[in-house]
Amino acid sequence: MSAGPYNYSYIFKYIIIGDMGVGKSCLLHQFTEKKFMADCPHTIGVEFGTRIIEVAGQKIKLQIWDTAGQERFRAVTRSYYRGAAGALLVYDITRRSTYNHLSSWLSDARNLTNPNTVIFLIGNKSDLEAQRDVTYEEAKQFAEENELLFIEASAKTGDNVEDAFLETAKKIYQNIQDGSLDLNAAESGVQHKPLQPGRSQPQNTPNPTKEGCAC
Amino acid sequence: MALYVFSKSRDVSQQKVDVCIPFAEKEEECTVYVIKVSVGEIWWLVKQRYKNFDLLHQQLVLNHGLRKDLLPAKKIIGNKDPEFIERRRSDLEIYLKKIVQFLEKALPLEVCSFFEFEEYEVYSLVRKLAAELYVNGETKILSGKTISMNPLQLHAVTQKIQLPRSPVEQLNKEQDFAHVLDFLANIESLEIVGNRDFYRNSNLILNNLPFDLSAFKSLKHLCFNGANVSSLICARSLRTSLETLSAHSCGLKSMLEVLVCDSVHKNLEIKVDSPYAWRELVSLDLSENNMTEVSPAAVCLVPKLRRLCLNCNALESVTNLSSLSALEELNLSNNRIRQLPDLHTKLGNVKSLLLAQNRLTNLDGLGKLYGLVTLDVRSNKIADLETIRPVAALPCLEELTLTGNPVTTVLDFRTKVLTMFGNRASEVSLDNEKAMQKELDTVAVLLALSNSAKKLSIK
Repeated sequence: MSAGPYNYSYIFKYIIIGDMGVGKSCLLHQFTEKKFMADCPHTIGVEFGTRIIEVAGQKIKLQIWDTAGQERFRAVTRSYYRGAAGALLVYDITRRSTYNHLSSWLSDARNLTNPNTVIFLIGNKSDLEAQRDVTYEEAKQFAEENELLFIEASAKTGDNVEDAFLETAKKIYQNIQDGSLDLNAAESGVQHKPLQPGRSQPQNTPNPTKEGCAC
Repeated sequence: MALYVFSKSRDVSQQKVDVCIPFAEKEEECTVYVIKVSVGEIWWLVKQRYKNFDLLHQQLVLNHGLRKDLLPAKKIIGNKDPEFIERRRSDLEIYLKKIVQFLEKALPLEVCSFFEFEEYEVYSLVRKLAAELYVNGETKILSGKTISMNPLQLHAVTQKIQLPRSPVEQLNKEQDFAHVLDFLANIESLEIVGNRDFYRNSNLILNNLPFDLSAFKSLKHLCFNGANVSSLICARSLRTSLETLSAHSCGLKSMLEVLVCDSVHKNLEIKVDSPYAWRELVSLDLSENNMTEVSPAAVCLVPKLRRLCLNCNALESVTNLSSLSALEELNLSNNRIRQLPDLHTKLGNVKSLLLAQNRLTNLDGLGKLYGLVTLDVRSNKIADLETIRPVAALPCLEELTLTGNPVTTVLDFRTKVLTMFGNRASEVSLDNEKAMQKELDTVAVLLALSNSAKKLSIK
């Protein structure tokens, strides 16, 4: 069994957050299906997607929770921050209001995730250069001030979408390697593939210890 | 209809839990107390012995600091006395009411499982599902088998997507909702098994629970089995991905009920490029329903259909199928069809036509279905041998089934029918049997005789 949804050694949990209509679900769709979803409906509660990627020779399954941007789902959204290893914070480069709200999203993310959560700022809709409302430079500066990774991407053309998800994973993996992220902590958002009877185990992985119920 | 929600969040409507013990009964020499648990408008019954109350209480004392003397005391002798049982019933009821009142803000898991929440309540049900799938989800997906789910599970998942995560699932990796969504996203074939009766010991009716299937990202084959097709809130994504759609025993009166199950307006305009079209659907199976006709609007919604099963319905004629240009297999067995006049004008180029158990007296309308390979007309009322002749002349026909018709009692029935196929007699399977050599010899003799008779008459 070389391919398929169950060949991986680690699970990384991501959340995607940001204002309504910035393209969170489209980014997820582009990343998991490699397609642009033109008439994407509003997300009700949460959406979920997975994809297996490879970082430093390790197969990693990304479990991505895509949250609703609408205010009425804020309580639902907030409940998914905990236990996320990566947070993709998205704004729309053609709408300044979505950029202005970043600090409130960021403070939510900082308060509700663990200190090691990698936060990646994404300026979406980079294909709409003519309608640009937020410059690359100011967003870059905002990211630097807040120690965020930053990229401009387009869910429509697929530009930089892979990079955003992969860079986040690399950073998380690096945190594991240098010991700043504890795999066994309940809310690290990272875990080994569950070892269970009847489950297949991929080859050449460091033998994972069975996860307890994290009491 | 949301069920109980544990969350303390004010954004979510929290419904009040109420419990009572209406009566006690004997079960295998033991007294069981029948507890009625009500949450909002839903209630269910749970049976528990005194022993289980005691176990529950020990846990609550240990884990939640309840007073030890809250539970009515044990009694060893005379505990089968009706008066005693009645007194204990009422004491236990007071006890349960108290613990629910004390712990209502966040019912402990021990209480939830005592009340069998995992069978009825959204959070508990999804947690149980997640824990099961954590263990066997991968095996189930890899087996490639059809996955059966009931409308309550689908309803719970649909609800859960819109609700905050509970603290319990954040702490227990086995019960993470991700296991459920990951599993659902990989299912290719799903069967929804419905039920019109009350679910277990509750006032819930599975077929009344709405759900959507947006979490099923890989679904190709969907089957409603005794379920309510209008429970499906939105079929939008399925319309471009589903290859097989079935609905058995769903009481359908029209194909539109399932094809536009998510629209209030079933009176669609007949148009070719409808947004309600099922673009990839190749097989539609609506057997065992109550359909009396095929609506022309419905047929337009399935442009790629290759296989259509309408067996076990109440159809009286074959109409409105002519626009199904890709149709190859048509099953109309077990209907009320009496005649099939000029069927070739009503059907495209079908290869397989099943008409068993109808009321046909002849096969007159089938003589021009030149592409036909398989024809099954068993158990009809065909009595006349001559009506088979046009069918036998069809150039591609390889299988013909006539069993259960009066005509099969005619003397030398098999050889007579095989003779009608002429030189192709050896290629044909009649009533699931190829012709035996002896039969072929007879056919050859009969053919030679009739040929010479023809030659004679020409001379």
